[in-house]
Amino acid sequence: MTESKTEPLTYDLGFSTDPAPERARRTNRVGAFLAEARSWFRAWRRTRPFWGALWLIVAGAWIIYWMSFDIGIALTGGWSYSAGYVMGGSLIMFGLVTWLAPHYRSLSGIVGFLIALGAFPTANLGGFVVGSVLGIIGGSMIWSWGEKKPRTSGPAGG
Amino acid sequence: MSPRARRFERTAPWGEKPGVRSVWGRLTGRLYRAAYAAIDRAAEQSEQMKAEAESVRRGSRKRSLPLMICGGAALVAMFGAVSQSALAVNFTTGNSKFKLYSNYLDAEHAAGYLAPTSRQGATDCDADTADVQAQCGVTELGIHQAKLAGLCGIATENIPLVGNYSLMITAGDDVPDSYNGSSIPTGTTTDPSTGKLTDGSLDNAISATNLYLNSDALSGYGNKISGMNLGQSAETVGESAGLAFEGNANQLPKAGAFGLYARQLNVAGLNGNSYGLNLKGNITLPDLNIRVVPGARTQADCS
Repeated sequence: MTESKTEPLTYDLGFSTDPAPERARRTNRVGAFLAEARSWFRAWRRTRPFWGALWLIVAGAWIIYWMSFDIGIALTGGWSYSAGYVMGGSLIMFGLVTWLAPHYRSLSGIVGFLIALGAFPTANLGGFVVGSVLGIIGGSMIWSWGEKKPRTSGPAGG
Repeated sequence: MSPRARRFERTAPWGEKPGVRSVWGRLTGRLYRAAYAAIDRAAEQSEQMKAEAESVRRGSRKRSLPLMICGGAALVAMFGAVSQSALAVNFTTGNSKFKLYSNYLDAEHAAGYLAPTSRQGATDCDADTADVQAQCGVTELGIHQAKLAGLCGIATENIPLVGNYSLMITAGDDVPDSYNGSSIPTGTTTDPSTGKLTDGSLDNAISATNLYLNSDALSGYGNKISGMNLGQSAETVGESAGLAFEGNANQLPKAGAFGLYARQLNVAGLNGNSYGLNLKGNITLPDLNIRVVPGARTQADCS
C-alpha cells in the first residue's frame, strides 16, 4: 500500500515491458548459433584438406572463366571450345571430391595436380598460367595433407 | 535407433483396424522416425568429426614442396617449349574483346562472312572493354594456314574495386608502337613476288592452322593478295578454303549471303578488335610472353 503510490496505474502490467533483456537473450541465441556453426566449420576444415581443395576449385573456376562459351557451342564445337569446361570442370570436381571424400586425398591430389599441368597446353595456357599454378599448389597441398607434429607451446619447444 | 527417433516407434498393437487415421499415423510416424534418425546420425557424425579434429593436428605437410617444385619446373619447361615452337597449344578466347596487333599476316586460304557473335543478351558493341554478354555483328574470318610476324594481344578487364587490368600476350617479332597503314613494317621480310613471309620473319613467325577470328574492326595494308573472290555465296567459302565453320544456326554462313575467299591473303600492320580467337588446329608461339599489368594498355605498350 505504501510503495509505488507515485507510479501511474497504467505502468503496472504485472510484467516488465522493458525489451532490453529479451533482445539480449535473442541476440545471445543468434550468437550461440553462429558460434556453434563456426566451431562446426572449423572441425570440418580440420578433418579434410580444405585449403588445397579450395585452390583447386578456384583454379578450375578461373580456367572456365577464360574459356566460357555458350553451352551449345561447347557441346558441338569440338575440343577447342569444350577444353575449358573439361579441364576446369574436372579441377572443380576433384576439389569437391576432396572436400566430401577426404579419404581419397592422395589420389585426388595427384590427379588434380596432373590435370592442372595438362590444362596448360589445352586450355588457354592453363588460364594464362594462373590456373595451372593454383592447381599445382592445390594438388600438392591435398596430396601432402596428413597428421602433423603437435604444435610446440613456445619457441624453446616446451 | 536414437532416443528421439524411438519416440515415434510403433506402440499400438498389430491387427489394428485399417482406417484412414491409422494409415496416416503409420506413414507420418515412419517419416518422423526417418527424419529424426537422419538428424541424429548427422549430429553424431559431426560430434565424431569434432573429436577427430581435436585429437591430432593435421595439415599440408612439408612434402608438398618437392611436388610443387616439380610442377613449377614442368610448367616452366612447357612454357619454354611453347616459346621455342616445340609445343603446340590450344588457345581459344571467347568472352572478352581482344585488341590484336600483328606486323604481318600471311594467310593461305582465308574465308570470311558476316555473323553475330556467340554471346547473347545486352548489346554494347562499341564499348572499349566489351560487355561480356553483348551480341554484336562481326566478320567471321577463317584461315586454313596462317603465319603471323609478331603478335600482340591485349585484353582489358575491369575488376571491381581494383580497377582496370590488362592482360598482354606477345609472341614472335616485336610489335612497333604504331602502324602507318600503307607499308610493311620495317624488319619484316617478305617475298617480293608472292608476298609470303621469308627468311628471318618466317623463322620467327607464329604459325597456326585452322584459325578462326571474329572481329568487328580489322585494318591493315593488303599486300599482294591473290586469288581473291569477293561476293562469293557465304555457304561455299568454307569449302573453298578447306574449313568447316561451326556455331549455332544463327552464326553459320547463310546461302546467298556475302562471303569472301582469298587463296593468299597478306595483310601488313594488322590491327583489329577481336571477340574471339578460336583454333581448331594448333598454334606455335615463339618468344611467348604473358604479362598482367594495371591500367588499360595500347599498342605502344606491346614492345
